[in-house]
Amino acid sequence: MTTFVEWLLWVESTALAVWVGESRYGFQLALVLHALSMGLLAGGNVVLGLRVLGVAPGVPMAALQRFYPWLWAAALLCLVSGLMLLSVYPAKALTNPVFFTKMGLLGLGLWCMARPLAARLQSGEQSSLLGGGVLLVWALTIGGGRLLAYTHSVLRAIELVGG
Amino acid sequence: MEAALLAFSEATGIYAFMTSPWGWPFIESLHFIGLSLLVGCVGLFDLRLLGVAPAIPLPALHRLIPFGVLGFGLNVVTGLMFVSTMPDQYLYNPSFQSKLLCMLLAGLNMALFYGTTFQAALQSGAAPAVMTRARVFAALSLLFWGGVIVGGRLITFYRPPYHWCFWCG
Repeated sequence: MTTFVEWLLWVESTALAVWVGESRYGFQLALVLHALSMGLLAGGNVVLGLRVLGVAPGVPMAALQRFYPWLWAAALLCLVSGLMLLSVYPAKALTNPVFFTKMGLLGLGLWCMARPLAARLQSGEQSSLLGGGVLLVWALTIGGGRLLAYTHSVLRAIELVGG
Repeated sequence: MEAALLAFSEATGIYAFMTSPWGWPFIESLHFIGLSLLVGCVGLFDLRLLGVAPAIPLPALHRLIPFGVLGFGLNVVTGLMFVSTMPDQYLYNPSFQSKLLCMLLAGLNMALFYGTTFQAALQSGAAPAVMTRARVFAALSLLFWGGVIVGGRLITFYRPPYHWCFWCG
């Protein structure tokens, strides 16, 4: 058995994974939190992207930054609920290239929010490229996440144990 | 109802598309994108009514609401594609029924907001009583749309006939 598979088995055996996976409402709670925080995080970024594209020109761009604490809170909730889901099925996600693609897109989306988008909101300059790019990145992140339910090759680490 | 929905799905080709290998996941992805569009636009407007980002003029921010409506429209279309393809999995599903109830409440809340408070709240010097009412509508909007998401996400855990509910008949 490789170290990687042993580590996956260990993750599945942690108290968090057991609680999320085996309690009556643990998994449902994680999914619900993930969907709610996704809506606010991705949807909020869509609004920022639309404004940078030139939609709703009467909205002062700098003032939109006041929504950032809400979006970062949503990102944190996405991370926590995502780790809850990941702890139950680490083998399912970490053997699937779509998962890493989604994480890459998510990282790009969060980086855009923290850097170029924040800079544009501050300076008040519109940008079709950045605005359109932000919309595309979040749509692909969401699509990638949904496809994780359909593209995995294994569910649990035990399936990776040779024999 | 069930038969009519299924007949519609089959006659329009929706059934064939949804049961093809990537049909269902593709439409699900669009449904989640529509969700984000709706919650992003309506949710940020609600947060603004609740006092976040007061420097943004309400009429200007309201220009984003059509994009929220677009997300809602996308989700009505994609949602009908799920429901008409597998009507029995939804019509008798307590989670789906709760979701519909939350949608109804969100719709009523919105109609009451636009009917009683919206115009007055848009004025820059709106009376405190008007803004208090607007905040109640905004909080209820967040609550009901959140309920729609919760109900939708949990549909898969309450599939009939394994999960009986007293009102499912």
